Amino acid sequence: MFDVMVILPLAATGAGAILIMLVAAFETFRREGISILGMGLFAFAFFIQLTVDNSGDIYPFAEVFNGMLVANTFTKVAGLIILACGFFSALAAQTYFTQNKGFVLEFYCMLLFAAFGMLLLTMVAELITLFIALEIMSLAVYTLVGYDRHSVVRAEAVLKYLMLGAFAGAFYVMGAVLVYAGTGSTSFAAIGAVVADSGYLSNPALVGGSFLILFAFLFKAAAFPFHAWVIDVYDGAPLPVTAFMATAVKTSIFAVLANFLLINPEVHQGWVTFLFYLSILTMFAGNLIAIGQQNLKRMLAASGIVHTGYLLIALVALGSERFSGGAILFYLAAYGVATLGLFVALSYLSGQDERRVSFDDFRGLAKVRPYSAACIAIFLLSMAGIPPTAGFMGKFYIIAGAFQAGHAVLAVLGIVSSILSLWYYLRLIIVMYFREPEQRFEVAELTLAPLGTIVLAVCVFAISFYPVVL
Amino acid sequence: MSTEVILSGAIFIALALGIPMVMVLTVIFGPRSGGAAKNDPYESGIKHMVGMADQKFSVKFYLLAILFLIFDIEAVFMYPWAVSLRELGFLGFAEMTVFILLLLTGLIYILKKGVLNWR
Repeated sequence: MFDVMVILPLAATGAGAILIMLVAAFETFRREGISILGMGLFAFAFFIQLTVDNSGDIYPFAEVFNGMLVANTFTKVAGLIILACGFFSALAAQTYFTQNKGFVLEFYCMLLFAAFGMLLLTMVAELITLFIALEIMSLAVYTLVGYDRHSVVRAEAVLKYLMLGAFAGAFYVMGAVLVYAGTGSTSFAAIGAVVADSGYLSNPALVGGSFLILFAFLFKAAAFPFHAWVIDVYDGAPLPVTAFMATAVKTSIFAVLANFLLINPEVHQGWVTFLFYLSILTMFAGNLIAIGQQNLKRMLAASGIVHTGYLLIALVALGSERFSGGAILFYLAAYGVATLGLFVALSYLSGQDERRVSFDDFRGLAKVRPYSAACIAIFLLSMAGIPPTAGFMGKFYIIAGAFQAGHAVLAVLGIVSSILSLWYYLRLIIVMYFREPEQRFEVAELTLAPLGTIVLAVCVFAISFYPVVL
Repeated sequence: MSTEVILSGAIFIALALGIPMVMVLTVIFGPRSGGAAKNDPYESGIKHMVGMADQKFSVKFYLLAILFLIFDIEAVFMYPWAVSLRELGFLGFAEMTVFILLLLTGLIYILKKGVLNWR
């Protein structure tokens, strides 16, 4: 019965998606009802995931799935982050679509399908299952970005994302083929055994294959040479979808990336130098892009690149004698809370048809809506890494991990990048607090999203007290 | 030379001669028909797609083709499953039931959405 418990969150998400699909087809609910249903299903799956006790590696249904899935504390926490991101994205969507056109009943169905793929992605221990999970997630997210066919911006975003995402998928498959050629197996455990047996760098097919697989992951995570799509796609997607992509997709990709690099310490060791330079370039490229942005959504997309850079630092420090998975997940949770908070706040502040999107549109927000402005300020300070927020603790764990692993340069550059990022985070705070509002700042009176914003603002502080064992 | 080699050589020669011969014979003896309808370019349910590449066209046929593909794959899955049903036991049966039920919900969805109504 224990096996069933482990995959129950997965089953609940998938069954919930199908339930919403049928409800949408029979049109039993209108927009309000189906929003509540979607949020309820995310909350339900979250609480099941919370009650699952999986300490140590569990292979659910080992004789049926042949050890293709693995569940442990790492996958459990990653799943919790993903489902929480899903819940708050659904909440943002509920508010967003009261003021914006282009709602279809299947929206929440695709959100749940994407979450299903992501949960599967965190649990995979085999290359083909990984590809299937990756495609379930990607296809659902493509649909979410571009289902509104009448909008030119959405069409542009989905075309860019689909084309480049398909390339990344092809890279992944080629990589998986080469890994199979080099090791004769697609299962992580068997690949790790081959590496332990005959070494990693002496096996060219395996090295080339894992290089291509890393390409695909780094594309999805928007790391430096593969970051160009992220600004336009995040900007073109509907606001709640951007929130979901920025947080949940990143969480699942980093979970699977850490799992892949930990196949064997030698695999990780082979990529440390590569990831070292990549993390520096990602952080500074993201910062330089973000400084130039006038649009809030584009700024958040660029800052997402910077946060990918920080997570890459955590991956560099990953292997050395202890598992820094705790630091990665803590950072993802901290970043997820702050980003979702901003997007939930934007979902009611941006107004009709995403009218307010640039920095200047938020002039004097603190005078008109002091609580919303305070929450946004908290989220921005958390993203910048100012104590006592969760973002500070996340950066602290990552930089401490880099020091312990002997990468002092990386730690120092991480701090420099954090100071640089204050430039664009503080800019919004200055605009909100020290500029006079020009016209009346009318905002629809809604209860759910402001409540969610406050809950997330509390979470920013609450999470920072959670201890992580380094 | 063994008889197998001679025989297979004979088969190859027969094929190499026979196939072109059939092609030639159909041209000589086959019935001819002409007309505007026959000379129209026709592809996948779309008649007369000539001109610029950005014109609009109906995707009904492709939609049906994709739906057909899904249920085609369902059938493909069922053959090896049926052969090894006894070895797979109850879990295999349960898995296939889940798979078929999932596809059934998909079918209900497309029926309700009116995808199968050829308008």
